[in-house]
Amino acid sequence: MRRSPVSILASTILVLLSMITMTWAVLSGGWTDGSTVLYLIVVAGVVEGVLVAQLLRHRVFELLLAPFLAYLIIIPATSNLLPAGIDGTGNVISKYLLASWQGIVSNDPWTFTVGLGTIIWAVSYNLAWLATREQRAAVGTLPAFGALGINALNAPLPGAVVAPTLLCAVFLLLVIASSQIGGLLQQWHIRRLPILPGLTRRFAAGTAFCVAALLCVAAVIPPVSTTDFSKTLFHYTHGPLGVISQTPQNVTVGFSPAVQPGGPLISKPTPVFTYSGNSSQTYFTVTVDGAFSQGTWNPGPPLGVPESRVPFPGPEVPRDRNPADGGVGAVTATVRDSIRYVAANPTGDTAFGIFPGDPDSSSLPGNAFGTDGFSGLLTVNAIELDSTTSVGASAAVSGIESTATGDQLRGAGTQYPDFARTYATFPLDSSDAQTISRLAQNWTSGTGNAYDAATAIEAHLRDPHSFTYTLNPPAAPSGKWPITYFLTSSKAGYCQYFASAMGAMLRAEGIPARLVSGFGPGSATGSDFTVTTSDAHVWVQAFFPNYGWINFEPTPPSVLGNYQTVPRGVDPTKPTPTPAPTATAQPKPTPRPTAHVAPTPLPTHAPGSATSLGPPSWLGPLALIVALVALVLGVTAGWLRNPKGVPAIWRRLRFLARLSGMRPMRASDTQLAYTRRWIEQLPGPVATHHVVGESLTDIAQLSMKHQYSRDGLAEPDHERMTAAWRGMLRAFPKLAWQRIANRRGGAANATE
Amino acid sequence: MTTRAPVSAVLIVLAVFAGLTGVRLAYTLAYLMVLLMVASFLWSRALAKRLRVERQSPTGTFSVGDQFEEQFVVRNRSHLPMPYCEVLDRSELRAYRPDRVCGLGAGQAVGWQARGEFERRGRHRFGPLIARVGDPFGLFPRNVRVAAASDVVVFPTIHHLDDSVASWAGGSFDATTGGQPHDRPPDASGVRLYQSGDPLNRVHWLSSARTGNLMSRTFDTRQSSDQLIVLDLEYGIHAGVAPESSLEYAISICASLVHAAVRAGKAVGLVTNDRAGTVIGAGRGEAQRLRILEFLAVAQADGYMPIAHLVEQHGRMWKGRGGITVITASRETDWVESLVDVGSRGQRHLAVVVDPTSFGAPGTAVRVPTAWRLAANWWVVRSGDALSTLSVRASGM
Repeated sequence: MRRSPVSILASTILVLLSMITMTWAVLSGGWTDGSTVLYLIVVAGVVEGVLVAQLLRHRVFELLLAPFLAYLIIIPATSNLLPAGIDGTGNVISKYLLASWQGIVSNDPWTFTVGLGTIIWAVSYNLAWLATREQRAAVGTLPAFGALGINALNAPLPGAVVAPTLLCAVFLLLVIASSQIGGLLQQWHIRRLPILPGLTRRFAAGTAFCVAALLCVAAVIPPVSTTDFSKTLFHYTHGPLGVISQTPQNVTVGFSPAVQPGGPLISKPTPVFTYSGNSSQTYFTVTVDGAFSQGTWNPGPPLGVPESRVPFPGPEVPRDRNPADGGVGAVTATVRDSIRYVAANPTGDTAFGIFPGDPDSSSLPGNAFGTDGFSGLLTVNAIELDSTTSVGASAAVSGIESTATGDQLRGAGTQYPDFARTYATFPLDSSDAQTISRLAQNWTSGTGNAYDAATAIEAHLRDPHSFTYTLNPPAAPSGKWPITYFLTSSKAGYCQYFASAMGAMLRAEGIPARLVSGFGPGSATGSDFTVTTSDAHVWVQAFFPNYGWINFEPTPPSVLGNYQTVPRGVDPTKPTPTPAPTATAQPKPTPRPTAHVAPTPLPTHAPGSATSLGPPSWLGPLALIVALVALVLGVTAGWLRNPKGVPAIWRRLRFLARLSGMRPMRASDTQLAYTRRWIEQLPGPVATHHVVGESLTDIAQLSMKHQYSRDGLAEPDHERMTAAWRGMLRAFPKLAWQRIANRRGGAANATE
Repeated sequence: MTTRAPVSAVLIVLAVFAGLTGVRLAYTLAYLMVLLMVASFLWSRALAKRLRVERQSPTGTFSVGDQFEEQFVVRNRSHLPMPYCEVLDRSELRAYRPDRVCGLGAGQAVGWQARGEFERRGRHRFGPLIARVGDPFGLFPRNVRVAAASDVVVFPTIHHLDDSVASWAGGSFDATTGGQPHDRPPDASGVRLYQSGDPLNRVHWLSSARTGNLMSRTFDTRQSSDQLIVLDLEYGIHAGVAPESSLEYAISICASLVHAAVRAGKAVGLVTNDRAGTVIGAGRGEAQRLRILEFLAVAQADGYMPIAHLVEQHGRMWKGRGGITVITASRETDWVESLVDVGSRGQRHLAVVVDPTSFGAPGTAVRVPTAWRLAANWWVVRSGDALSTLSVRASGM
């Protein structure tokens, strides 16, 4: 029996709307530009699904036909985008097959479009077919919801997918309701049930009201947690839940001397160097970015300030070491590390020296760049080594880290030396600069000193309710500074966004600030630490009189790095009661898979403890297994609870009998004889026997009546059958438990 | 299949996604599904609890073929709209479908009338009703059971038999049949208007002179004209499916004879060989008629005593009290001998044979030998016969 044309049309329209909004959500996520193509594929998928559902009667044909129908639209829609150089029909076909299979994880635009188009077509076809023929739209919405969820979690532009995703979810719920009323109408038609006027109108109104109300409520409920655990569960990932993000630009996370917040990145961790030393907490400084212009930061001193080049043969960096001059702080510790390069030229074309803090000494000779002081360089912006570094080369380096406490920094005052003042210039010559300045004033209102102002800005940026870490930040509109867009609209970005924004706001507040490009501390590999390209990081330094340049960390903990604020008053070379992971404290040599790693101690990680942070590594597979088991149990429970017809009930009963240890039904057994045999074997107390026995007898008798009676079962018989089956289902867990208990008892007796 | 399983799967997947990643949008989607489940559950629960179905059904006694009417009102007393409500009647009345599907707003009610016809005898119950309601997503459908409203008793079809049949059944309501069936001299019991065909020797001239119209005498035997009906309800002898079954025909003939006898003021009794061995002593009047009809309304062929035993047993006791009518579908012959045995001079009993072969039973059609015809009146009924014109069939037998 087919559904009425009006019902099919309504379902088709809703399916079409839901699939179009799903495509809209995917396209809003910034995966690809093939918008017209994908919309075309979606419409074709829905139309094909509906036509096939209405014209063909065999499910097998419909399944076999699906791939051909998919390529019927995908090939014409994407053939004009096919990369040049692919000749021959066989090559083209194999290319399409490959692209359909694994295009979603490809970086090639055409392959990705084909892969995405195939998925979207399959979802559309499946939903249209199930909703208009099988009245099982709820099953059909499963892949659609899955696609929505994955898109929501991994889209390069997460902020842009919210509206279409929610709209699509609403349409999907309406599709479920539409399928439900379609199925009911069909049943009523078959049973010749008269329908009083106004039913469909009331159904539609009630459904629409319900869905709208639910969406409103769901939208205002805050999330339970914003902490991302997926990284600890799914290793080797480039995005949440292991889905590799497709990025319009194939820019890999790595060291860059300039800080110019840009487009999406992908993380491909490659080891750069290993090190060991007297601390593992320090950031590795490579270059200092003091030149701020139009929202970006470049290496060197502030604009207009000359930079000097001083050769040094090593090991001491030729810098002004008098705290009174401001070049170094009065309260510092020296961190010493031995570095061994495992990649040639980890800092790019120019070989820069790598220092665990502000450059202090290096065994490799080179030239120091910075601002001239009285007895050397007041600031060291970079050390350009004389020769490029090769694999296996090693260097003994040391850096200077401030150990000033928070109180000391609060009392540092604002009597900046002249060279430091140049780091506080922030011309308000553009609307972006003015916006940043206003924002900085708002955020720092009520603070009484530079340190509190800096920590207020840092805290705002680290607030997970306000800003989100992502490697796929949305692109800023043309003409707008990326950091202004980041601060006011998108509120999502990676470390360059956070550090650039904080540096600009500090300068807008008149606090000398600069950015430092370098590496995080990496991850432990035995007694050493390994730093990878994905540990490349940017952070902020603000100048405090008498204490020098102080590190700030505005980048929040996120899916790709557990960034923590910098502890004050801590000597990184000495173990302290505060949590401080050391090389020996890391129990596993596994490198961290993410782009950036927290350089600071982790709160739950006590010194010397062998306990790792976060959920253990077996939790992921365990969660997967639990989910699979739950899925299997759920499907089985659904199968058991919803038999269609008497033969289905009898099949399920035999399944339960087999679970109970009954032998298979013999050919000579009638239903009644079989159930009687089962009743005789039942374990447990008489009460259960009685209930189960009645249910079993009823089912057997009615099955026989259904099978052998000329008129079959009447409606009351069906109800009796259903009631008996439900009674059986309710009693079965108790039976199963009794059987297990009896077995145990039997085993125990046998042991005795 | 409800949609609960797939929606639950979506909910679980989204909740896992949200919990693992902390992404707000994933949480919103998960919340949406959670709220959907909760709202659907509460919605369907509220509807089921606040649903009222009222039903006004007929009561009393009816006959097969009578029309009846029922009134239904469905009220949604909840504050939520009711997307749909299936009202399903579980009465066992054939061809009567008062079922409806409706949708109701909050606090609204809807009503309808349903008309039907009693097609079968028996004790029928109006109801129970099953009202099916649920949320629009099919997550939590619920059934509400409304108890049965009333019972009615439907008597079997009563045909108005012509006088010849009635007279064969042991009485002489009018001596219209040709010839004198009894050896004993009749007694004149009254007069009535002359009817075409009355013999001239029956004209009562004195009354005719007094009234100015030809008046005929009516006669009665000295024997009682009471009637005993023996209905064969032995298991397995009947054939066919109601209403075209030999059992239904037999019961209908029985009811018709009882009706005619009572209306004629005769005492009538009923003996059956059903499982309970029902015996209803002879009696007159409306109460007796209802008593027998109520039994016939629910009578089933579930006995095991052969009809011959029944005739023999009760026929002896009935001797001299009036005629015996045996209604059977049996193809055995011994009951005929029993019937002849319990007869007396001047008394011809009636044998009504409902031919089971005409209702699908195997074998050849029933034939009545000439000797039997001389011993009793015979009436062979076949499927499709018009029971009110039996005399034609009977005379042509």
